Amino acid sequence: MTEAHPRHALDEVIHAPVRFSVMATLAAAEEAEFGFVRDGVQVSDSVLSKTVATLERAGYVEVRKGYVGKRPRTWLRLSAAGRDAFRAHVTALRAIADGPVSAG
Amino acid sequence: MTVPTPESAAALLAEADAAGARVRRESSPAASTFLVTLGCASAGFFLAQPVADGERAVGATAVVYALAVLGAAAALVAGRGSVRAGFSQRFGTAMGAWGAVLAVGLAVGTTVPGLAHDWAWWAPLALAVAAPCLAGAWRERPR
Repeated sequence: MTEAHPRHALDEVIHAPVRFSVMATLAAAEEAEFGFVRDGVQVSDSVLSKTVATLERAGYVEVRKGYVGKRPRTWLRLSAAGRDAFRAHVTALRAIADGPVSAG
Repeated sequence: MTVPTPESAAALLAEADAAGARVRRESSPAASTFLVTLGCASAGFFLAQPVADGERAVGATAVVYALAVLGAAAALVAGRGSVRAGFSQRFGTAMGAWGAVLAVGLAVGTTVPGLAHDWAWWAPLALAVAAPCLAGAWRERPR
């Protein structure tokens, strides 16, 4: 029996470029401010909002509204499911990068 | 879904590493700084007990200790940056262990006759109360 190709372990939700970048940023932090993620991923507010909404629907990201002084802030963090999914996705990427694997 | 080639997979992994490095650069050391201050202040408070002579002296050490903890807590709140690292479950574990040692140590040391000025009680306790904070600070430091 041949070993399953690592592409089967890739997560379709995470695989999109912007979503991957957002997940990668949040995976390294406990929590990050919306603006910090936006600047790091280099997208507009609206693109990040849509991306976060998708990840939130998938159960991968949690959104918290808060204040720094009187200024409203939005904080993003990975859920436990999001951390597990990102870890598995990175493991699959590493297996592909370390290849060689057949294309089938 | 487009399956990444080994090259593009490696590029994605490098991007994830770069994102992690950026988070580490920007992370505030507030959590670990708070735990170091709390551990050292608690140890100092316990070490002051055997030499504190009288209720006023004990009260003075308590006031100094409370001010140190309040100052550290204020710095912790103010020091939150735009990205937070170091507030994981381990932070809570360190705080819980510190609280338990502090409560038991103080309760026993101030109620059991003969312990109030006994170095043999307070000195090991000073190490015990600082240990969870310092260990937590080490594990929660930004890196």
